[in-house]
Parts: sequence; structure tokens; C-alpha cells
Amino acid sequence: MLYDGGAMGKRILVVDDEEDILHFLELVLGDKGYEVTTAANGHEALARAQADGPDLILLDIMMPHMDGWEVLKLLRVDEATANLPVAMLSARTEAQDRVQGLQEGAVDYICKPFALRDLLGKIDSIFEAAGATGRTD
Amino acid sequence: MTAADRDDSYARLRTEWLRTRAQLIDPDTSLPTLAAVLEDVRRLLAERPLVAVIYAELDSEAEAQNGWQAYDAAVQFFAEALRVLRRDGFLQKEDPIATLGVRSEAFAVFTAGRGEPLDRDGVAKLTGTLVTQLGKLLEQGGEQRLGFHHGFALLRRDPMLRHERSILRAVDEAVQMALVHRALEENELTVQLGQIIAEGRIQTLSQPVVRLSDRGRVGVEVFSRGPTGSPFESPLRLLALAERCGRLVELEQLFLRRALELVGRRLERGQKLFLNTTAVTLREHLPHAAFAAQVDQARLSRGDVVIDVSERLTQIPGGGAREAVARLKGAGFLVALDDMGGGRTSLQPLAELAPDFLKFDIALVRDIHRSRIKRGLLETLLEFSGKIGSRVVAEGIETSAELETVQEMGVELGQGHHLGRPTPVAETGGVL
Repeated sequence: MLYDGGAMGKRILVVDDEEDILHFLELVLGDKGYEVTTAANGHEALARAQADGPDLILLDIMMPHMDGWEVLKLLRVDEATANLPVAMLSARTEAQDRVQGLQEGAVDYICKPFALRDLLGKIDSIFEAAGATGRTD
Repeated sequence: MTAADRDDSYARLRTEWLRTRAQLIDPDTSLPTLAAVLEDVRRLLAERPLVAVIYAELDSEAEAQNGWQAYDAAVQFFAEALRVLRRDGFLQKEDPIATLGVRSEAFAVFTAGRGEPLDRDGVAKLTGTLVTQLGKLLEQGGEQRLGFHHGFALLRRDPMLRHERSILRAVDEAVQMALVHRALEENELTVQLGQIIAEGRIQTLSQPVVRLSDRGRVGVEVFSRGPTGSPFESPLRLLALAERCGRLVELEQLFLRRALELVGRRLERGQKLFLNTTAVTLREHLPHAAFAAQVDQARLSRGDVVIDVSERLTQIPGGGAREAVARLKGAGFLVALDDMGGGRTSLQPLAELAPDFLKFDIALVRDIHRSRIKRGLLETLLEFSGKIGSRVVAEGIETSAELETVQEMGVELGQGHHLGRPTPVAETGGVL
């Protein structure tokens, strides 16, 4: 594997109820050198977040039973995961959702369908920002 | 049970625990909610026969005025102040302090006092002391004046009643007292409001709206408020009270008359006058001939008058805001959609309204240079404004970092302390 300084060792947890998205992202992000884990629902997401200690969580909003907003809220409630950067994934483009992202403490908002290059760019800059300032906003 | 099943059970339990915890403990203040302290209060009641419930509730107008982020900070500050009171001995170490619910701005404190059993007078006195101390702490710390109302009740151990219900009833009684205080204050304020309107004792301020590229002045926004140092200094408070008294339109007519007289006449040609309005006035006063006549009399071109309509107003179904906007535009006025991106921004109705200006909310601009999600939101709104042909104003620019960021992103116009503070308009004077 070619050395990819940026991605080395960074762990990403992808949460989405659609298996296709999970497989796709596992493949392309893994290819970029990230370590990828996946979860298909909110409750798995919380378990993985605690167990694996990811550096970034990509969190789908529209999931049955427990949606992305509730998962984000619970991540923030738990000290172990309260400071993990979380980017929301959604097919909705309503500005209202971006504002809710702000209120709940998400670090970015990514619309589906996304161009892969854009996604990778956003992930890069999230990690860069987190590294540079120690903050994740 | 296999190891995997055990892991899964554990994970499910943990999720349920997190969900429950999220409802019982406020994440911002780390205070337990009322439901979570019922047991602690029961224990206190078991040791001491009489327990005081003291209730305090922040004035919620501040949230509408300054946005939810500033209000979050105010609520946290208030919670800290309560903890400081406990630390400094005004309450006992184990006395429960609770919030009424997650992210609530209301709090309840339970105490049996130090020595003698409390009686009603004792509770009243204790409450007075706590309220005074709280006032001092708030003055020292907060940037803005935090108003709050309070009440108290006495909780008695009674074996005939369930303790949970007794506690909740006592809290309710304390809440009722706070409501009564509010109502009394309201009566007093209503009388004062009448005098202010009759005597026209309002202040008019103006703040420049500036072109970011060359800092050229494109216009001014006019704000009105009550007399300095009075409870009516806050415009939102003044408007809220006027609305409750049914004198809102009357008050706003005064604002508009004064704005046109003092400011309208002194604008340079082509400069825009931004006027604020509420839903009621937008519907009932502005679209009518009387207002248009006043504008004409002030020798202003209608195309230089911009009515600032808060986006919130346009989202009230059946609120008549959209029809009013259409009529205003028909009469030759310009319309600005205000407070964009600060709350529930919905893009589709925007296209129908076709505002001449979009003004982006202060909360969106705050620290935008540090927030990717805010920049993303602003990008979306900028793109949209281009598509519907609206000019864009970023409000609340307070630092050069915010200014640079919005300028780089292509925002044309700006407003905020960094570009010019709202200043009282002098009775006489030259061009603005």
C-alpha cells in the first residue's frame, strides 16, 4: 500500500441503514488508507463508537427506529464519545437540517448523492481542522 | 448465551441507558432534571419535616432576541450561579438543584435550611436572600442583562400523600407564584407603556448597511426602543408587552413615523432605508395608503424603502405575511427577508416571495470562520439568492475574521458592530 500520510491510522465509522452505501464506503475509504468500520443502525453505531474509538463518524440521518439526530445526541451525552467529530449524511437538502446539525454539534453535513471526490475532500479537511486546532468545529 | 449474544445484550442495555440518561440529565448544565431528583428530595423530606422549593425561570425573550446559542450560554451561566450559591453556603451541600427538563430555562432548588425547621416566613426570607445573591452573580458575570422570575412553596411530609405527587405539586405552586409575579409586573409595565406611547418617548437608532468591497454606505437600518434604563429599553420586550396589551400596531406606527421623520429625510439619494416590522403591522398597517402617504411625504422614493420581514413570519400558515409582501412590492416598496439561516430556513417559499434582499442571521455569521457547517449553509443560501435575484446582507458582523470570511464567500453587503454600531439619531443634524 502506498504511503498516504493523511489517512494513515485514521479510523472512520460509517453508519447507514442501506447496505450498499456501507459496502461502497468501506471499499473506497479503505482504499484511501482509512480503517473503516460500519454499523447499520443507531444502536450498533453507539456500540461501535464506544468499542472502536473512531476518529470520525459518518452518520446517516434517515434511519428507522433511531434516526441520526438521536444517535448524535446520545453520542454527545456519553463522555467516551462526546468529542468525536460527526458528519451527517443525508438525502435531504433542507437548510433546516443543516441548522439542526449546528445545534446538535455535528461538524459537517454531506448531501447524498455525493461525488466521491467531494466526500474525500471534506474528510481531509475535517481531519486537518481537528489536528490543527484540537477542536472539531 | 454465546459471547456474541452477551455483547449484543450489553450493547442494547447501554443504548437504552444512554437514551434514558439523555432525558434525565441536561447535557449543557449537567444538572439533573426534576424527575431525576425526586428520590433525593424524598430523602431530604424524610430527615426534615419541612422543605422549601424555590423556583427560578429565565425570561425567555432573550432567546428570540439573541438566538439560541447565546441563550444556551445564559442558561448555563444561571445554572453555574445556582451551584455557586450552594458552594458558598446559601444552600446546604446536599440540597438538590434541578432543571425542569432537558435544556429548560427553569430551575428548582430544594432546601430544608440549616438549623430550625422552616416556616413560611423563613422560606420567604431565604428566597429573598437567594434572589438577591443571584442578582449579584448575574450582574458580575453576564454580558447581557439576564432577567428572571421566581416563586417558592413549602413542602410538608404527609403520609397520606404520595411523595412524588407532593413534590410535583409544590413545584407547581412555586411556578404559579412566579406567574403571579410576572402578571403583577406586567400590569405595572402596561401602565408605563401607555405613557410611553402617549408621550412618544421612544428612541430611534440607525445602523449602516455597508458594501463590503469598499465599505461604501448603501443604506441604514432603523431600530426603535424604549427609554434608556427603563424596562422597555429592550425592543423585544417593548414589542412583546405592546402585543399583549393590544397596542402593537399603535406602537409600531409611532416607530415608523419617527423613523421616516428623523432618518428618512436625511438619506442621500439612492440610499436605502431598512425598516423593521412585526407580523401584525405587516398585515394591518404597511400595505395601506396611510403608510405609503407618509413615505411620500418624507420625500423618499418607495424603491428606497426596504421592509425587513423576519423569515419566521412568512412561515406561519394563514399568517398573511406572503400576501402583505406581495402588496408591498406591488406598491413599489422593497422587501428584505430577515433572520435567514438562523432557525427554520425553508428554501421553497423563498422562491415564491422573491425578496429584494436576504439578510443572514447573526447566529449564522457568528464565528463562521471556525465552522464548516455554517459556511456550507451560507454557500447554499448564497447560491439560492443568486438564482432568485436577491441581494445579500450578512448581519451581526462583529470581528474582522467574520468580515473577511463572508466577503471571501461573495457576500455583497454587511451590517454589524464591526462595520458600525446602532447609534441614536439626533433630533437635529446633518446627513447620515
